[in-house]
Order: sequence, then structure tokens, then C-alpha cells
Amino acid sequence: MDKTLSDYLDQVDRRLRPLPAGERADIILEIRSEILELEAAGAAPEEILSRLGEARGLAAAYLGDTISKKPSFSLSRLGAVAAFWGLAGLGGMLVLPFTSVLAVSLLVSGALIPAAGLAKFLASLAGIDLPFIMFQIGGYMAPPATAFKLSVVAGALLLLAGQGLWRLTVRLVRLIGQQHRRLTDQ
Amino acid sequence: MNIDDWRSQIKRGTLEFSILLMISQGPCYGYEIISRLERRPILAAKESTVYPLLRRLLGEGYLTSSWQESSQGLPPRKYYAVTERGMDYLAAMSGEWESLLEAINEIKEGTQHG
Repeated sequence: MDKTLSDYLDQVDRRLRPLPAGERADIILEIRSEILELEAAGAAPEEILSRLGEARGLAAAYLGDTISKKPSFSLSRLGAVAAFWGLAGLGGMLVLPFTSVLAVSLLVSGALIPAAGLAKFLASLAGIDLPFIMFQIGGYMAPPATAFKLSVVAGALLLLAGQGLWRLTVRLVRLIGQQHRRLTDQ
Repeated sequence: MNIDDWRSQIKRGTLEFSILLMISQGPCYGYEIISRLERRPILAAKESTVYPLLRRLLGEGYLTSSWQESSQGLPPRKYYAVTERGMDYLAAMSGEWESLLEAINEIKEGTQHG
């Protein structure tokens, strides 16, 4: 076999790497068989190459498992695009700002509330009442010492919620990144 | 007028049918199928279309394949044959094809339906 042709086969083979080894070998043998048959019939290497098309396109046709003649469009790619926009579109435009902003707000509140509770408690020890800091649940107004304890508990809960939401945000971003990479690789 | 676009749509929709029909008349190998399709411009399809399509039909159980030695120092060829399941599929496609032709003819002749 002509060297340009065996190089071409190598290229196709390399691009088929995502497929199982057995399947890959079978595909290459079949293309090889056609190349040898065309050579035996007297076809020039350039002729054979133009028949088979670019190595990239031929491999992509197998990978995309598509009968569409246009390698730029295939169902699997459409699925990947839909999956990506489903995530980046909704996730990027609605979910991500929501989760990230809420996560940050929860984290800030989680830190502020115990600080306020501590301020109120310390002020009350010094005999000063800070009227702008209150710990109120329904009709119940907690006295400064209890308010401080309650504010620590409430702050811890908010910090936990904020942290969870932040992790979710990071995971979403990572997921969108992966989808995007998968899409641009095709 | 974009007749090429329409033609490629028809080709895409009927290639599977044409290939199964061809193989059902006797086992064929890939290049043989491609070169027989090439003789009819409306059906002509490239390697990058036919080979993956054959793989898909294999995967769906409509075809089987076997490597066979060939004479005159040529490399072995991968022959395809239609399975029983493939024959059922082909019969269903033939039925649809007939009713499509019938419907088109009725429209052409202006026959009222029903």
C-alpha cells in the first residue's frame, strides 16, 4: 500500500480512539480492504484519497454514527447542544445567578447575625440597650443573653445553607464547562 | 429553486431502504454496495455515509457480517447479509414505499381520496 494511504488509515484510526478497540480494528480493516481493492484496480493514491474524503470527516461519520452527509450536523451533536443550552441557557441565565447570589447572602447573614447578637449581649452587659438589634420570634422577644445564643445557632444554620448552595453553584459551573468542552471537541 | 437540497433529503430518507433491498438479493461487501449506488446519481452516497449506516444496521440486528477471503490476491472482504429481522423491516418499508408511490400518483392524477 502507498505510504500516503497507510498514513491516512493511521489518521482515521487515531481519530476513532473513543471507540472500543475491536470495533476500531474492524472499521480500519474494512476501509483498508477498499483501498487495496481500488489500488489493485489501478486507482492513483490521490484518487482514492479524494474518494474517501478527509480522515477527520470519515472518522467523525463513524463517531457520530450519522447518515447525514454534513459532518457539522448530527443528532448526537444536536443532543449535546440541547443539553448544553438547557444547562447554560437556563442554568446560566436563571439558576446560576440565583444560587450564587443567594449563597453569598446566606453566608453574609450567617456571619452578621451572631455578630449582632454578640454586640447586643455585650452592650447589655455594659448597661446599654441597643434598640436597633432585636431577636424576635413571633411575639417572643429574647432577652440579650438568650438572643446571643439563638443568634449563634441561627447564624450557623445560615452559614451551612449558604455553603451548601455555594457548592451547588460551583458544581453547576463545572458541569456547564464540561458540556461546553464536549461540544467544542466534536 | 434548490433541487439539490430536496434530492439530498430524498437520498437520506431512502438510502437505508435501497441498501437493505440490495443486500437482500444476495450478500454484498461495502465497496460493492457503494459502487452499485454510484451508478444511479440519485442514490450515490459516499463511504462516510454508507459505512456508518451499515454499522448502524448491524447494530440494530437487521444485518449480519462476515469476513471472506477473495481470489486474485485481493484482501478479504466484509460481506453483509440481511437477517430475518431485517427482512421484516424491509417488508414494512416496502409497504410504506408502495403506499407513498400510490399516494403521489393519486395526487398527480387528481383522484379524490375516499
